[in-house]
Amino acid sequence: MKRYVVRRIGATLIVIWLVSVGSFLLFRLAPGDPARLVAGPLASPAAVASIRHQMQLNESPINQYLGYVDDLVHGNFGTAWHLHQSVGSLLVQRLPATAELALYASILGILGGVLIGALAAARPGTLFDRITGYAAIVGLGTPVFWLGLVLILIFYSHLGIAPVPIGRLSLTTTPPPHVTGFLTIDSLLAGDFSALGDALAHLALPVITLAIPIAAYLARVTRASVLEVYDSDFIRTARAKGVGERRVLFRHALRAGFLPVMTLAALSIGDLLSGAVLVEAVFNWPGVGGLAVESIAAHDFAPVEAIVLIAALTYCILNLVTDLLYGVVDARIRLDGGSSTVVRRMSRRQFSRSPSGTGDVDGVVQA
Amino acid sequence: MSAIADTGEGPGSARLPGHSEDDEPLIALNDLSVQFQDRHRSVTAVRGVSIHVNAGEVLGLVGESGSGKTITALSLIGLLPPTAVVRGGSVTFEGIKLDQRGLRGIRGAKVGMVFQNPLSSFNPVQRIGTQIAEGLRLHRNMSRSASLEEAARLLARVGIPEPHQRLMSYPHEFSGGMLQRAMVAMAIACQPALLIADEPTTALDVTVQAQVLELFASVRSEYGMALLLITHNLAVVASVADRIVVMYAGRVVEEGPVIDVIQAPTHPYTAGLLKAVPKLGSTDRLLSIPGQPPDLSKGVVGCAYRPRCPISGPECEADPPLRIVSGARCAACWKAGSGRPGGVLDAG
Repeated sequence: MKRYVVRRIGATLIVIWLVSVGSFLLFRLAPGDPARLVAGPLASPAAVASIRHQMQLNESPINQYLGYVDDLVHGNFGTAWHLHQSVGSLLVQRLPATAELALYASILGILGGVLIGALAAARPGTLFDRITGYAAIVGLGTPVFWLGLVLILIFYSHLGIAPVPIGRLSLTTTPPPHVTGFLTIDSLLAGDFSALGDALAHLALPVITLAIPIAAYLARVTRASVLEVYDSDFIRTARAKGVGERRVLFRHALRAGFLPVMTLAALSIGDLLSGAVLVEAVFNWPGVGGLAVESIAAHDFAPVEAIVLIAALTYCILNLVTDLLYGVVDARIRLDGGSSTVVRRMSRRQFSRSPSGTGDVDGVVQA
Repeated sequence: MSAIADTGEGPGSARLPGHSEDDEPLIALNDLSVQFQDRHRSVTAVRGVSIHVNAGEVLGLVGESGSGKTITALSLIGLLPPTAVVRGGSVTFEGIKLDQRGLRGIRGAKVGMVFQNPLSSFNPVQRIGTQIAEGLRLHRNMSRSASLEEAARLLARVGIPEPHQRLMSYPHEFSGGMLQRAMVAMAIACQPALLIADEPTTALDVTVQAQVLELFASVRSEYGMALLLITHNLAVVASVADRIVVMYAGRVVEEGPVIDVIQAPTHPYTAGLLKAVPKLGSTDRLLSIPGQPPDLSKGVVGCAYRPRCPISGPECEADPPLRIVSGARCAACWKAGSGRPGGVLDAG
């Protein structure tokens, strides 16, 4: 177990290093002159040259990379030239916005999806099962930016119950003092319930937008997995003990069928990061997704490199945590050999989202 | 002779022996028919089966695979799969007719069940102790620690060493024999009045089989519970059962005290089964019953055993009802009870 964790952390470091090289090279090889973009179209060649020197663009790529790694090791993510701000301070502002969105979206998506899928599996063929089945297919096939716009149209434009879809708080609301950067938590810590309500109101639509595809996907996966478990002998044993249907579903069937659900839940949280870029654009959310898009447009590589690195790190950590949880959910899985990776590969293949986005999730992992 | 005369009412309404007014059976299943249907065909797994178990007795339910033994047993506690189409089959427990809710109430509390395959019958992701304690917590309202303590006592009772450590084990850490012992512990946890064991030893090694059967005998005598033992092994039934019910192609074909039935079967199928049991030291050729059981997806006309029966005659084209042959014995055969006890044995 300990050896396994050490090995996995080593593998994570290698992945992070490769990602850093990749994102570094991508920007250096891309056409265009960052210094010219920073200086502006009217700047004199001398001014551009001085900025180029400031940005160390005259150095050889290898020296640039070494400088970048040296900064990184010292906790310095570099400077976002187009904003004249250090990337570190930008991340402190922007990262909590995205993280708060992703946190609530994954909680809502996972709980909702697993609950709907489990209930549908308990009543296959019923109206509830069919309605949620169709809804899941629609939810999987719907692009998030369109979903966000439709939600704004309904809840803001027509019903008028959602706040203006700009930012995390209304202009009239004073933000709570910065502690975690999560407005819901910070306002709770400050005891400011009007700010809390405002933050929640602003969170509602983007969170729902991000959660729907996750819920739809996990509902299908959970349903297939639980349905398979329902045929097992031990479900009959549980009923023979006089266990009620609700307990059969949640204590026996769902737990035994949770492995593939857990794997894919972790993967879809990873996918949230890409979904967040679009949703942040639709809701004018001041998160890292928007920062990445702006920075790419401005040829400003430092923030993008930092964000890519953070995304990769998040993904790796999620995967590691999931793998460690396997052994907790199912005692038959030991994390010393390759068994856990076998299960993971199987579940990925069998539950992989088809390119059309309709989600072919009929197969189930036999652990 | 007079016994035959009063069975004109048909199998469903006939009052069967061992079932008199003052001697109410512990549990009774009345006139059960079960069909399984899919898009292409429908299979009638059980046709008009009535069985009962008296308090404290051991009933052996015998038949080959697909004869409807397991379906009959599952019906007793309302555990048929949702795909089953059920007609009749009302269950009476201690004189009270039970609906689905009532059946759930007796499951685990009054009736315990031991299944055939111990490994797949345990939840792979829960600890053994949790699974044994679950029934106690549900039916006895025990606390977590009290139920686990009782589970350890039960594990010790069924002969599992170091029960407290074993509570924490997962099913895959047990051997098949140990799992079946744990399964018995789980089934008897609430001291039920009836224990149903569906082929409890089939999946086990021969040496372990005997130990598990011994365990059944000892817990039964300790708790005084009735046992419904489902098996295709006549030798097992002969050694432990008081009464025997033989099923063939979804029907009860013979029923009676085990000694009588084994010494002098009245149904040719029972006779055939008995000849197929190997005897130690015997040099006789082991006989098998020629032919195959009927395909239950096609309608069975007349006696289902007719194509394989050595003594069938023209009357067998009509379906024989289960009728009293003599005393406490019934058979579903036109030729049975014709005054020649053991006659069909000779005829084979």
